[in-house]
Amino acid sequence: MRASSLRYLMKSGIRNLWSNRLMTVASVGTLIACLLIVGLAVLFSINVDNMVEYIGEQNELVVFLQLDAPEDYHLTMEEELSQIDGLGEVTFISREEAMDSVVDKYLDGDAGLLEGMDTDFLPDSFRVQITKPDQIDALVQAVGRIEYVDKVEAPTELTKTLVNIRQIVNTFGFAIIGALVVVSVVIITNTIRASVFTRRKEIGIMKYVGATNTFIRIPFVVEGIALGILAAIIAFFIVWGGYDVFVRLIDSNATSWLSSVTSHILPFSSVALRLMGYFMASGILVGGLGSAMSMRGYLKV
Amino acid sequence: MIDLIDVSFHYENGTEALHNINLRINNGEFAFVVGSSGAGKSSILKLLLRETVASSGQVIVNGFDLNRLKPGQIPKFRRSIGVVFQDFRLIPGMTVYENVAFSLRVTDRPMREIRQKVPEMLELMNLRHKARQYPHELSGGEQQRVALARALVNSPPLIIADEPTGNIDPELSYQIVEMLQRINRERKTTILMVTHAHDLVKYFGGRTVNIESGQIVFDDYILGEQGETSRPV
Repeated sequence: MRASSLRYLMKSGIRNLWSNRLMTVASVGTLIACLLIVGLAVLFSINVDNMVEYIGEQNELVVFLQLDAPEDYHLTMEEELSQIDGLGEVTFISREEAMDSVVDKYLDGDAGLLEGMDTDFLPDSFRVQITKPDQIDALVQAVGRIEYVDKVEAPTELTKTLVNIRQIVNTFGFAIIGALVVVSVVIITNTIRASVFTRRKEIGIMKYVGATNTFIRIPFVVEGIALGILAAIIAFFIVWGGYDVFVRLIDSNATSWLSSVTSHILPFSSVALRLMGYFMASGILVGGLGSAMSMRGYLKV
Repeated sequence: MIDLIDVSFHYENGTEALHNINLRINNGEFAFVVGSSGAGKSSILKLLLRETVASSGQVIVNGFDLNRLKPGQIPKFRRSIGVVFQDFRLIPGMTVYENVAFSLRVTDRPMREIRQKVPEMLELMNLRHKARQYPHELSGGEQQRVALARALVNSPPLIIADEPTGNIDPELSYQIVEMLQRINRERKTTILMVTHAHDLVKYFGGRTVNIESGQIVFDDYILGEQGETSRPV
């Protein structure tokens, strides 16, 4: 096909948007509604996931060293701990610091009671952040194998619960989004089919003049893709505005215990690109494929 | 050229629409096909445009054997015919110019050719000043001239006109047929015009094929009131 013919077909696809503006508004409206629902589901799921992850990161392993561990051995151990995949920041707590915290916590800061006491009965320890909470059992084992480690304390139950919640949110989120996408495709295909139906005569005429199916299809597909892009852009801005309002509302109303969690609601900018990508991809795919498929029946003249 | 050899056609419910039709229309001829409604005129048209396939017999149009034509070849075949319908069948969203240009575009002609041929054709049909208007802004006669321009712009060897005067004023009907005859004379285009306007046939004369109850009952040259026939010498 000549470049000039292709240009003509693209142009007429775009022109059709205007000449069939009623159907354009209907299709774009439907598409926006579907994208909004899917977008909100995606944002909700991303945020829950993020919050649970944040809570999970607050979990720590506490690693106690044996009392007879050589002096300065903790430097070697710190090195070893930081090399284990799945662990984050490592903080060393010397027995002196441990003693201070005991004094603070239990003796109201009055160190006099313990005067003259040796700190030898307290072990050195590490606080280690967990970055891969789903592997907690393996992490505890790995840490336990390090030389001079006496005991590893881990919030295994809590961590496992959080990991489960994340999995459930991810699975359900995925399923719900999947279902919404299917529903959207059905609705949009029907809307586009209605649009094609109103133009079945036009398609018939084109066939009589000797147009090939491809020639007839291209403007419709271009039109579908343009509808998709238009809907994606509008939906994106609506979600943006809605999300910002929502975040501000939460920020101003959250009680203090909640705010530590809600402060981890992702800012829109951090999901914007991903969301725009999703919207564009689904808009183009649904619009283009929807048009191409809706036409099939009318091409047999 | 059109060649129907022992053609029969019946609908799926068994009703026979055409029975053993033999009809040959040579290159450069002008023929009227007349008959009352339900006589089988539409069935012949459907066969000639490859909307449907004969139940038996052979249909050959412009060298294409339509019974054997693969679906992929249908567009190519249809480009070899210009079709004019009773209801004009112009594309409503396109201007007059675009409607005429469309039949060149489907054949992937270069822009230069389109820009040259479409105005020429509009001039010929006396429609140049209507180029930017849309079909609904035109009268019936004008719309039919646009349809004719669209059918002709490709310079097809054959034009099939299905009741081209059915939706326009009687007076304008004569102009349309005159136009078709001029095209036939000047461009040697074969023309098959289906009509039930007996007055037109009587007036113009020429080869007339009469179909009744699915059979050809008359096929000969008649003398027109205007005193001419297109009978070959």
